[in-house]
Amino acid sequence: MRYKNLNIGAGGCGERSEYMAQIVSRLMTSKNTARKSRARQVASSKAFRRSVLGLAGLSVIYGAATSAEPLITQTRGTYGTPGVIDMPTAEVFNDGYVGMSSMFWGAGSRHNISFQISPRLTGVFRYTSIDDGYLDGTDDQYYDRSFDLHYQILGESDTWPALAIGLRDFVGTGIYSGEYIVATKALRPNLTVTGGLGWGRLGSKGGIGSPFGSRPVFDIGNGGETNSMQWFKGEAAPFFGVEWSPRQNLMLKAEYSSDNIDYEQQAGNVTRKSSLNFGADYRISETMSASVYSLYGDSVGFQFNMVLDPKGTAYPSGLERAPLPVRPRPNPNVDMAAWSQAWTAEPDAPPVLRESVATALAKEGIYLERMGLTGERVEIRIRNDRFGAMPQAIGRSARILSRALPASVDTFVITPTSDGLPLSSVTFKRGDIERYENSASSEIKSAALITDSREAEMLEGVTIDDQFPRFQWSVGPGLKLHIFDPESPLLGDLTARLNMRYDIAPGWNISTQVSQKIIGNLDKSKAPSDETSLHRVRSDNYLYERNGDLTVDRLTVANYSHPLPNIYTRVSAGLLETMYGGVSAEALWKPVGSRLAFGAEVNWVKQRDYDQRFSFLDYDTVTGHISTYYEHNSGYSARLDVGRYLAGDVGATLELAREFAHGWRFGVFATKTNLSSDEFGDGSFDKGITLTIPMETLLGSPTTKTVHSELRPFSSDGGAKVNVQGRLYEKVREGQEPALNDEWGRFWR
Amino acid sequence: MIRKTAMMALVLATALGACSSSSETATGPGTMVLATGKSLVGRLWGGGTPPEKASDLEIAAAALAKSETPMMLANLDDGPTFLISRTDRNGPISTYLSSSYQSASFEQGLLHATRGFGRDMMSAQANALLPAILRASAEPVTGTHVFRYLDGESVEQELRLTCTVRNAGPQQLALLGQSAPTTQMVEHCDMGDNTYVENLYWVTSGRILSARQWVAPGAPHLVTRVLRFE
Repeated sequence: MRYKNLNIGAGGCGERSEYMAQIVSRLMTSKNTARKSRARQVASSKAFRRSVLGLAGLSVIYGAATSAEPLITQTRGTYGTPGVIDMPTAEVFNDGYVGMSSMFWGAGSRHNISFQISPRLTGVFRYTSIDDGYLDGTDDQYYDRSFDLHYQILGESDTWPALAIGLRDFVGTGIYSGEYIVATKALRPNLTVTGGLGWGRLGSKGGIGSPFGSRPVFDIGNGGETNSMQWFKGEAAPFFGVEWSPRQNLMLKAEYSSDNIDYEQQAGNVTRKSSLNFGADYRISETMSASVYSLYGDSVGFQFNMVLDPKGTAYPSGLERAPLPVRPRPNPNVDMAAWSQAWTAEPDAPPVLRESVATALAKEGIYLERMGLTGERVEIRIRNDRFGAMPQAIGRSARILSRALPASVDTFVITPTSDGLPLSSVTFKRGDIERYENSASSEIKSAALITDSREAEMLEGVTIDDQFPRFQWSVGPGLKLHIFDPESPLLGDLTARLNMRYDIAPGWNISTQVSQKIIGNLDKSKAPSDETSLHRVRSDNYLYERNGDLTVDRLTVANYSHPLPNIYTRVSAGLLETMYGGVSAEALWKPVGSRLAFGAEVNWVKQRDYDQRFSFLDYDTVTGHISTYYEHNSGYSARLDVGRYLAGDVGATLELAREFAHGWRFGVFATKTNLSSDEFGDGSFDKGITLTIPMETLLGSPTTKTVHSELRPFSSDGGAKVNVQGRLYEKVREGQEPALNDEWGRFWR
Repeated sequence: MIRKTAMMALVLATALGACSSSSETATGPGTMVLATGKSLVGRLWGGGTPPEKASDLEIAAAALAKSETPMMLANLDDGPTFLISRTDRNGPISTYLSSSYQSASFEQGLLHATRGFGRDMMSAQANALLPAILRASAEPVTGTHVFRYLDGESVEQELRLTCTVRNAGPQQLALLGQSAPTTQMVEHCDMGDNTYVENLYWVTSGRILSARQWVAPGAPHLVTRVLRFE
């Protein structure tokens, strides 16, 4: 299966992730190859990106300010945005950057995930704990979640500084709420100065007036609303900062803070004795750094930062084995006999050829499902089980066909499949494969024809015997995580996970996943404290989390079909996810070259019993959505679902995402239904961010696995969807444009 | 030290790994190639004929005796030596494969592509320069050398560089215990920003006997020595 949705999606901020150990090991490995380069060797890929993309590229992005360059930084402040310490700067991170940081000081801790969503827009999701918080009236830690947005309005030019505005903690309970406008200038390559004006919490000390009127009080209500009526209102106070890098890997910082740290002072663990903060930032490796701070003259702070830069993978051309070279056909003038079609008369020839192609493909991790063969044409259906990019599987298949088949076979039609579903067909002339093996990948792309499989396939293919029925199983470790919950920050179970899959025939499969808890504290998951008039379709997730023994996470039988050109269908039945079982049916209309697609899905589901075995509870419902998908050039995409959700509410979900050519994908989503904020409960409306990472970019070795996470600051029962695996859109788009085009550079890899 | 930590982490990761009914991921030979080992590069460049590693001579002798195919000894900067033998030919381009399934493709000794090194050359073009290198042109020759590689997002990037090939004079090359008279050709490609690509070729009788060629950004150079010509 190409796409795995690992999201729990229920209760607090659920997130499940796999392959943590491999991720850690990748992050700990500095880029050794770059380090070993000699002095005279060409500079690292970052310099290349700049020189290759050229200033022409930058001026397209930055429009009128053609001489302005984005002021890019590697360091972050304590809030996760580009910053000095507590104060922000006008810098941005590298496009596509994802980073995590954890900061600890006398008053508590802050944990940030930072995203450079686009070249100028930075977003931060934050989870903090304040010791002895008084806000909920108890003596416990006070946990808070917040979001920031930071936008660089102007890049830096020779004379002018970079300019940015930001909204800090603009959705939620407002502990850190503030807005700012800030300017930063690099006086020298290693010396940067910053000055700005802050409102809200950033204007709480040393205010110089209220330029836009007074700041209204924010009615938190159920949380989850933006505090837009407060933005840039109230006292404004200046702040300043200096960052100096006396030597490589070390940065010294000083700032004059306009934050009065009211909440932290009232909690009693810190006293504001000074407006000056000092810090030192040490870069341990390309991906890790650590900082030490002296804060407000009263406290010491420590911060650890880690970077995941999807554009900086260590092995851009992979570590997999070299492909088999194309074998060109002999010159027909010299060896006419080799080109004859006499071989088609021999009854043994096609099975022998099928066998040799199947064997050669299998060695590459590609499985031949069907082959049609005449004297002049071959059509194969392949299942890519190895390579993260479909074009690579197609390219390797074309190479093998060039080696295995008699010279007369002149046309290759390669159809990648997923769960038996033909995704598209790519047609080549063999002569082009021979001619373009050693040239730019764009040459073979222009020569290829990508169409719907129902248009391209003409032959009646033979299904390869040993492919169906097929049984596979795997056992491995798994993680069930429950994080960012205000009641309990980090809960998780280490599980042993058994996956089994039985492919009955092309398009039909039965698959299951069973987990057994080994060790963990997920059973300490608490009941939600809020009242709700809705049926608890998701908020009683804690009852499921308490059961870890032999849980059947999923057991479904599914059928995939491509009945008409551009139309794909799916029907799944069984235990669809942890909390629900039933029947799910889906249809998708997506022409091969189209950026627009439409889908419809209907689910009839019954809530499963808490032990996650084979019994059900009383609640059942019908959910369904009509979906519109749009994928734009340069990786931005949008998706709109309109329909009925698990609690019976009706509304719409909008998701906006950005996907890099390599498959890393960041998204943000929000759902609005006909529930009022009060009915909805905590959070007011469902919202969150998504992050999808193809494992191949982290590991280097080829694999089709991806990690998909959804982070929600609040989770509730409104706007909840059934978490069905194997939905059509993600499956189908992998084998069509624009995904094929984005990854076509790997065709000859 | 960082590498040790990384290796330990990798071992830990493998220990936590899964077992299954079908093998899925293929681990690459990249880590092996990147391991430290004694380099023969320095020896190639020495003025005289310093002794080569006995193991290299043994590898070479055994391989030459075993088969008739064209082959070369190769290594990445500072890396261990490995043998590559020709397996295929498409027009002017010949592909050589190592026992750990890494490959390099050449046109008469000029590097056209590599595979399996983590940072590879996807393809290249140097039609204007190759004849000048092979004939050890006394006069400098300038032309375009195109390099293609995959960037961090696996998007193919193209570098079109203006390169000049210069004759650096005769040089005795120590190869397999013998000394071969060659002419050293230096190809210099300016990239601006104080960076450049430099390839070295040792040519004899119209053929490239040995070379040190740039592969891709951030990657070590590939050093080759021909054992048997095509």
